Amino acid sequence: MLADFNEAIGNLIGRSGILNGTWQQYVMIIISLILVYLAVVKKYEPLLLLPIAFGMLLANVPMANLSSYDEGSLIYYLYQGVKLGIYPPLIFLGIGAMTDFGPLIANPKSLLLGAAAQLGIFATFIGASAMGFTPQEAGSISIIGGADGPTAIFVASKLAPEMLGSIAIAAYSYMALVPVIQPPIMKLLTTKKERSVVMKQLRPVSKTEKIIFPIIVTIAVAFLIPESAPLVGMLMLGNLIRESGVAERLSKTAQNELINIVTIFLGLTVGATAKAENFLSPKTLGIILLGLAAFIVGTTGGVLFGKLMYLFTRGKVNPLIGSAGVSAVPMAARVSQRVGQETDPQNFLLMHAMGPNVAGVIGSAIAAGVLLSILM
Amino acid sequence: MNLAGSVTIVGLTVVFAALILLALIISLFSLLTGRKMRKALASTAAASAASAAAGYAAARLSAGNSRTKAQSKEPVKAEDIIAGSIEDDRIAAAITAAIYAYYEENSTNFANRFGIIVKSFRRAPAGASAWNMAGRHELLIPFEGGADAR
Repeated sequence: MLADFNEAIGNLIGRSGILNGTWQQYVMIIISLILVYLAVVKKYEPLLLLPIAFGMLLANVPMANLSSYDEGSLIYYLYQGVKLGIYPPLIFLGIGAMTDFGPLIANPKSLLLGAAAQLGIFATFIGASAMGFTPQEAGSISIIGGADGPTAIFVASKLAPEMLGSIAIAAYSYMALVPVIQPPIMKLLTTKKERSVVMKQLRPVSKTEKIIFPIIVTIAVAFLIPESAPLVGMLMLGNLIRESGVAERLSKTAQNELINIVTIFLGLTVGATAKAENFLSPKTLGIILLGLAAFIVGTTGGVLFGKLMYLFTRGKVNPLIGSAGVSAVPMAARVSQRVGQETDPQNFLLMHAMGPNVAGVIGSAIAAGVLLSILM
Repeated sequence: MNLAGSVTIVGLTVVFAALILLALIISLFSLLTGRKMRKALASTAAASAASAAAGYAAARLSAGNSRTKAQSKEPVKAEDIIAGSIEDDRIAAAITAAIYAYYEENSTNFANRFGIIVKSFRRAPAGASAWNMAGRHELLIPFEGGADAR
């Protein structure tokens, strides 16, 4: 009887995490706790970082077999939504339903700023290739420069799934750090005169234009770069639902319940891909460094193109709105507004910066499509 | 490295080409619908001028004497301060009524009372000097309690 009891206890302990954990798993648990801290206390993109961090914690509990790769677990099944490329387009549907493309329609030139800020993606691709990453890995890392979480996850899940966790964590961490990363670059590259440009008020945009816009963008982009169609198509469907004004209930669901549910699934399962053997490698360090570089180059590209527009329009465009082209909606636009107001408290750049900001979302989705079509 | 270079060049070219194409298409259809929009705006302006009289009458009816006096303190410059895009007819009507009220209080000649017509609204430049802003703010103080009182 006692022997049986001892054996049972022995088995239980033998199968518990306490005796079976590796040091790498403990390091991962500590990292996940730091991320929980950053999400809860520092409020770094908490909506995503919190589920990601917890997914990471679950995936690294010894013997629990809860990572996204452990067949049979709940997380494994939820992860199929990432693997099959279902969640990122659904998130884009919600983002589309939340976004007002009015400032972009009123000033179509801001699309160019959204394109210029994608320089970060492609410059980082060169950097990552030079550092010895495979083209697929380099493509997945460089898309961090798009400053768009779902796009980064969409590309990484197709090109380099084993790096998904670290890429998602780098992307969301840097997006949260946009107010820290961007202002020094913006100030360094612009003169006080350029920063104090007051832009002409945007024209009002009619409802018809707002309804036609998503349809035209979908047709144009999907025909040109079919690989971008899942992201851009869903973004524009969300926007059409919003602007049509006839599907209020769908619009509300897309921008609240649907996007929230998908965010939980996406965050949790992406976090749960970060197993010790994938995450604790020199590659992660490379991803973190290259991700930062991508953000810096993207901001630089946007601001420099803004300066070009300043020159061509003879001082009618404030170059500060260029940095908002990296997407990271609406944080990057707010940064443009804040830096502008530091120079002139009477200057309101927010609506002008929203144009390049939402153009950046379209731009990074197109860039993602280009990378996928070349590298897949 | 070769691949990296070509991906970069192809990528940037395609992204720029796609977004330039979109910018062109949007400019084109905003040109088409924009014309309609300007017409609509013009009619809105006319409507707001017309509604101004109604707004004024309403203001006179509902407001007490003291309220009218407060309105009368509004500077003539109000015309310059007023919002640019006529998105909100009600604001335009209220401002027009305030200007009419001012003229009525300050004009001795009845014929001159409605000798002015508000044709357009324009936002005053935002980059005004600090003194200018302070002056404006001071002139607006009598109206600041208005919203709470309602």
